[in-house]
Amino acid sequence: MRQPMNYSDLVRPDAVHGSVYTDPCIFQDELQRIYAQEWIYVGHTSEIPKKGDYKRSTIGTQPVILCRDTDGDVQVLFNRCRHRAATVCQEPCGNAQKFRCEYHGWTYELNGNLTGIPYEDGYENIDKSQLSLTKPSAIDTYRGFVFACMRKPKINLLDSLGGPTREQIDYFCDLSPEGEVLVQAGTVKLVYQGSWKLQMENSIDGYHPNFTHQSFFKTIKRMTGVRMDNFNGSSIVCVRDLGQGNSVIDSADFNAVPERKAHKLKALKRTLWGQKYYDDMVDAYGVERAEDVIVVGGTHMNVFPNLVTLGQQIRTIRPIAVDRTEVDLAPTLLKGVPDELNTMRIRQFEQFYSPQGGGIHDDVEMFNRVQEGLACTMEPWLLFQRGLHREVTLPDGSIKGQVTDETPQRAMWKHWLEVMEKNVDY
Amino acid sequence: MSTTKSRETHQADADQKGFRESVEFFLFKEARLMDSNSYQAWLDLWDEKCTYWIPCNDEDTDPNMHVSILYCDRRMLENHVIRLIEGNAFAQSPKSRTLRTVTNIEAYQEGDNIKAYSNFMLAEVRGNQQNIHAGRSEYELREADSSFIIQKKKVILLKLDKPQDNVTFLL
Repeated sequence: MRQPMNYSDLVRPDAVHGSVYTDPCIFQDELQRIYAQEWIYVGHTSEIPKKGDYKRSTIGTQPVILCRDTDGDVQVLFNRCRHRAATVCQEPCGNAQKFRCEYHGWTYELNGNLTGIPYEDGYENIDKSQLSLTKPSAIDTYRGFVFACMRKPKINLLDSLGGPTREQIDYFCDLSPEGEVLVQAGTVKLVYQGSWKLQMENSIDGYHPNFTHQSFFKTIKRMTGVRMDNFNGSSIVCVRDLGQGNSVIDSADFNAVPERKAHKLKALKRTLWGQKYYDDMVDAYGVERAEDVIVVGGTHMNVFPNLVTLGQQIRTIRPIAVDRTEVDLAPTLLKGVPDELNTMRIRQFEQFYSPQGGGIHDDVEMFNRVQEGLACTMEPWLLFQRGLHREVTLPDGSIKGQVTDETPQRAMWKHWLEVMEKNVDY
Repeated sequence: MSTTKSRETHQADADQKGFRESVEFFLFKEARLMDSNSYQAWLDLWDEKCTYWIPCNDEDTDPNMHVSILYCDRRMLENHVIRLIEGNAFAQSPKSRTLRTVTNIEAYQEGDNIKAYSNFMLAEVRGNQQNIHAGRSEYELREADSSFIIQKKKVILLKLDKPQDNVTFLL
C-alpha cells in the first residue's frame, strides 16, 4: 500500500511539480477523485436527436454510451454487460432499438433495463431489475451539453458550472438565432503522448500563439493581409479565472473597440446571407445582444476537467494513460442560419484544427516535447507565476489577467488541488 | 457508386496499356516529389483550378456541411505548401521522412477527363518512430504537354475516422 500523496507539496500558487504529469499513481488518483466524482462532459444532445440514437463516449477511462431512449430521454450507460463485462455497444455512433451483448446474448433496453437472458431457467431466483446497465449517479444538461457524475454529486450541475461559465456557454450557443448549436458536422480526433492536463493548459494559453503558431499567423497574413495582434504582451485581450477550475480567453474588450466592431459587422453584412443572418439575430435577441454575440464570435473557454469551447468547436479531452491522451474536436453547426455561414465555420475550423491544418499539431508537438522534457528531474518545477502580481478580481468574482498571463493555468491547478485533496478514494 | 460503374463499363483496357503506363509514370513521379519534399515541383502538377480533398469520419461526406482532414482549392493548397517550406511549422520540425509505395493503379479516359485510382502504403519516420499510413487516392486529370495536370485529388485514409497522430506532411 503506497503512502497517500500530499498534493499541496506538488501544486504551489506559482509552480507545479513535474510528477503530476508523469506519476502513474497520481493519474490513478485523478481518475478516482476527479473523473469519478466531478461533473464530466460526455457529449451533446444534438448528437443523439432521435429515439434510439447513440454515441460512444467516456468518463475518464471508462467507456459509456450516450443515448436517447424510447421515451426520448437522454441516458448515459456504462458500456459493460452486467453478466461478464463485455461491451454491449461497438460502433462509435448509430441508431439502435436495444443493446445486446454478443458474448452470451444478454439484452438491454435503451434505458439500460435488462430484458433478456438466454435460457433463463438456468438461473435460480435471478432478479433482472437489479441487473440493468450501470448508470452514473447523476446526469444533467446545460444548453445541450450533457454532463455526468459517477458518484453522488456534491453540488448540482448549474452551481458546479457557475454563473460566469454559463454566461460563456450562452455566448457560444446564442450565435444561433434559435439558440442551438449542432454537433453534426463530424469530429476530428487526435492522440498524443502526454498528460491530459497539457491540452487543458494549452487550450486557454494566450502566451504561446505568437511562438508556437507563428507559421499559422504568417499564413493568415499572406492570405488576408491581417496581422494577428491579439496575443502580444500589450494586447487588451484578457484572461479570466471563472472559478471551479474554468477559465476564458476574453476578447470582449478587444472586439468592442468601435472600429473593430464596425469592421466585423460590416464584413458580415457584405453578403446577402450575412445580412440575413444579422437580421435574424437582431429579431431573436435585439440589436445590442445580437451584435455583442456576433462580435464575440463564440467563446474560448475551459470547463474543468475535460471540456473546451473554442470559436466554432467543442473539444473533449479523454485521458487514456498518464502519458497518453485523445482529443475530440467537433466543429459545430448553428441551427437556423444560412448554409454559407456553417460552411465558412467548417473551413475556418479546418485551417487550424484539422490533422492537415496549420495549428493544432504544432500544439501537439509541444505536448510531446513537454512530456519528453519532464524526464529531466533535477529541477522539477514548472513555472506558472506569469502575471500573478497584476491580477484583478472583478465584480462577478472572476479573476482577470492580461492575455499572456498564466491566470487560466493557475485557475486549473488551484481547482485540481482542491478536488484532489477534498475528494477521497472510494 | 459511380467509381465502380465506370471501371466496369469501360472497354478495351488492354488496348490502353500505353495510356495506363503514362498515368502510372505520372503517379509515381507525384509520389517521388512528395517524398523528396520537392514542394514547388509537386505544386506544379496541379491545375490553377483544383480541389484536394481528404475526407474525415466517412469517405462520402458533404464537405460543405462536414469537417474534412483537408479540403482546399489552389490558393489554400499553395499556402499549405508554403507553410511547410518556411520551416517554423513545428510539427514538421524536424521533418518527417516519408516513403510511399503506389500500387493498384487503374486509369480511364472519360471524354476530355482522365480518372485514375491508386492505393498507397506510406512509411513515415519521425523521432524514433516509424508509422504506417495506408489509403486510396482518386484523381481527375487532364492531359497537358505530354503529361498530366491534377484537377481533383481525393485521398481516403484507412484510418479516416480514428485519432490521428502527427500527419502534417503531404498525403
